[in-house]
Amino acid sequence: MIELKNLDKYIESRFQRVFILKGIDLTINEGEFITLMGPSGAGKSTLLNILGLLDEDYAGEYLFGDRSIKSMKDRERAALHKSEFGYIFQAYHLIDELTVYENIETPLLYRKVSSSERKSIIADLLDRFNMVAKKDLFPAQLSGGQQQLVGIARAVAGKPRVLLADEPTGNLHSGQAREIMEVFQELHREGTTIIQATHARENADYGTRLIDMLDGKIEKDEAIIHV
Amino acid sequence: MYADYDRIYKFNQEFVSQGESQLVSSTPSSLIPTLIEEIPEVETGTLVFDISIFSSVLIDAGEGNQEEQSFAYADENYFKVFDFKLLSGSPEQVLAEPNQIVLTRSTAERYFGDAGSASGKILKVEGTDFTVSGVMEDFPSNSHMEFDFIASFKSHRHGIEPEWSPSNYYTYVKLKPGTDVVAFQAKVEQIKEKYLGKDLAEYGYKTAFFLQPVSQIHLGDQSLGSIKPGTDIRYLYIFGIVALLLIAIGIINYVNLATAEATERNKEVGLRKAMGAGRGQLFGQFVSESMLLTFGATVLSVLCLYLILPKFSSIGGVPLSMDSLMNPIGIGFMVGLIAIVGLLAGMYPSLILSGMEPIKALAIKTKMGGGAWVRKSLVVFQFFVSIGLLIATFIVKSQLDYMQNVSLGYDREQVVALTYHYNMRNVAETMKSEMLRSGAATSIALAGDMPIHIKAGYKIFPGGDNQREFMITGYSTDEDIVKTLNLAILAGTDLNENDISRAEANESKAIVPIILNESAIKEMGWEPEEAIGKIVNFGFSDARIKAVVSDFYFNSMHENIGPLGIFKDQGNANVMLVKIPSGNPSATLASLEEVWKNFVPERPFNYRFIDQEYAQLYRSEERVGVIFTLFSGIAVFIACMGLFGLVSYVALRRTREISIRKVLGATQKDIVSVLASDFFKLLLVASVLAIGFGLWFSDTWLQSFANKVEFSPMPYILAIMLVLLLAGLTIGYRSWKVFRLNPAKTLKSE
Repeated sequence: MIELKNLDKYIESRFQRVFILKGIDLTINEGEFITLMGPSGAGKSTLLNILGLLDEDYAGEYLFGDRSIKSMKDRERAALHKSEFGYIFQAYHLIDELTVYENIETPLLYRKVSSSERKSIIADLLDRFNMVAKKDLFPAQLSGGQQQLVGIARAVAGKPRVLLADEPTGNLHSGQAREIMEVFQELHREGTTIIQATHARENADYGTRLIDMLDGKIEKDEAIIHV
Repeated sequence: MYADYDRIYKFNQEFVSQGESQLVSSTPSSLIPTLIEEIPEVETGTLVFDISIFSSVLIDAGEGNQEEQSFAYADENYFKVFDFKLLSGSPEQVLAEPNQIVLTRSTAERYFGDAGSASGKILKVEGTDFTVSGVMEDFPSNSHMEFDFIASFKSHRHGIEPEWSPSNYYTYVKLKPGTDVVAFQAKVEQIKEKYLGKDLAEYGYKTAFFLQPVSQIHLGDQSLGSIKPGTDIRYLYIFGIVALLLIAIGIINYVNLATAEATERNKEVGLRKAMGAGRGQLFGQFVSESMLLTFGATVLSVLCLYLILPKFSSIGGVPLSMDSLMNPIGIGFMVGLIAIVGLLAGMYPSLILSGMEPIKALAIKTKMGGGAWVRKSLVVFQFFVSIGLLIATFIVKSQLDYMQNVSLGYDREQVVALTYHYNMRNVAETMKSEMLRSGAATSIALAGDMPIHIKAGYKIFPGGDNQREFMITGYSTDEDIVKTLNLAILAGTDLNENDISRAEANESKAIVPIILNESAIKEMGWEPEEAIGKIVNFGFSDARIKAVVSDFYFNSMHENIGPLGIFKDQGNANVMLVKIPSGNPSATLASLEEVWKNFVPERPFNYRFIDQEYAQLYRSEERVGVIFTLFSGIAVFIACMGLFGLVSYVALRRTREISIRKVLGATQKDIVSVLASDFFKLLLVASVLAIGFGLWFSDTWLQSFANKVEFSPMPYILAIMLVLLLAGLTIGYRSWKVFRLNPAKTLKSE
């Protein structure tokens, strides 16, 4: 489904090129649950941003299906981004002035989903994440784990095929983290392709494939067997 | 100002007849000599006869006739009442004898090269020799009088014997120090009774002479026949208020942006406090910042003023100079202004800044920063002012357009007014037929005035029961006026060459035929048809109504069309109205000039197009329109700048949120609407308020016009659309820039 060929991202500074990503070759099939691991500065977030069509500043090829991203017009790319990708941040990045309900609703508004359909989708999500009672609260009134749950709900509301998560449990304690990872697992079982970047070993165990990164390069890429 | 100006007064006169009053600024020639003789409180007084109201004057200093428009006669006390500087000649002597004339410096330079050599020279005034007895300094611009020539009143046929009628002269009196004006006024009343009482009772009307201090003439209300059009003081007030509003908008910008930024300066405030700054000191620091800005802005604007003032002066039609500002009072005013504006602008933001507590400051996470409500109302006010000003501008413009284009009731296109003088009377008829024969004219009429402003006032008494007298305007003309102006006859027949003139009728005690307009007939309670043939008393003579014409505008549109009487009186004519055929005007004028030169070569051929002269009547309203446009343009500009700043600020604060939305799939349109929706609500409120203001303005200002343009929603719609468009562009542009930011860069882990 996704193919990266010889992807480079660098910053030019005077006489040097500083590589953030170097020579990335990566094939991702639908339905995989991939974990990107590596120390800070390894390039995990950057890679996620590129995969999620948030960053267009790179050299090399990015094929989605059999279409090259670089050759797409802005509008095509935006459409692709809207329909295929969902994003989850470490810092949740909820909109503070909107309620839980409104936060989850936002991506649906941008996809021109009808009012009745929106209501049913959000109701389902709230139910699934046990947040029905909290739908009118503001992010500031929720705990970290709850906020992240809202973030996930928001990310999957538009039914994306690919879910990208950047340190999803970074700000959570172990109990909340486990909850989040179980949700990921559920989504994965339903067919969502998930790519997460994380420091935590434990999180990697939930996935089907583990990619270790160091200094912008892929060091190791192996499947994880679940028994 | 002249010395002792607080003791100098001008006399105005009020005619009252059966409840209707008419105010004029002229008085009879007997007034001042009588007052001087009989009232001891009068130190001195003078009479001025402004000829240019009636006609131009031909002056010949040896190089041919020049037509002069600015000529007056004055009696021997003129320079004792007004201490205008005489460059040559003495105040007691310059106007003491007949055939003496005083020139202003510029006039003397025009005719004789330099002011010094003019003294003693001879000039011909309408063919009669006058001696230049003195030269005076040019009239100052703030004087309500201005003439190029002043001749001794004794030279004029009316100046030989004073009379109590007609009232064609301006009377000024200088009272002794300490005079009780009220008591003096009562004495004037007694004099009037003594000399006019009998006539007043016999003809059943009243008149009163009352005083006006000269210092108030320039800016006071307009009354009929003032010497120089004064400046309507209301306009000065209006512009002053508008200027204050513009300053207010600027202050609002500062307040808004400073409070918005207050949250950004927390770190600085916190640090200063940690280093020991007290709240008062912080307050002082921030207020001095705003003072400094204000000072800089003032310096900048004074510099700009040097450059702009000449241009603005010519637009406004008023002589303005930097001297009015660069004197101790002006500079003191500016310093005060800086202090007040700086304080006003700086107060609120400084209060917020200095009062902030470090932790509370960090915790503020509202969309627009602290004090959002204040900012919102200020933005509403700014746009209310801008939209309101624009609406007012459009309303003024639409009224001006209307006045320019509305039908006046007579043909004003293709009518040329040539200056005519009494001395041409012997050749007038022949000239007329020559001009008609040459094909350069289709119709010609002599008249006392151009129809755009007929000034002569008379009294009319219809006679019979249930009738009362009223004031009526009189148009001295000849039998061709109806044809030339294409007036519409509603009843009766036009005047013809067999009808006698009023002068002839008075001499032979015959009845003079007159034409009245609709308003006059209505005033008398008659239908046009039934009025024909009736005899009325018009200006103390018997007149028979020969025809009724439909109303036309012979005065400014500030007044309803009043009653008008038209009669033959070529002796009072001052213009020759020529209707020219359409087509090549320069060829036509050339033909007319040829005929003119054949008959009166010594008189300059001067022509004016009636429609152009009409346009001039509303020059001051035009100026108001221009200035309003300028001011509202500035207001809109400032308000949009403020909006730009605010939007920038808000966009900055909401960068994170905008990036999130972008990630979630927002298009540029979505982002713009997110940012814009807040502001547009405010603009909507402002628009509604501005509409209210617009309605009030159009009610009040249009009230002064008897003939006003119909109500139209266009000014309101245009103004609101324009401002919404500009605001939209401002917001759109700013949002577009924010949208371009790469969310990957803006959304970093916290």
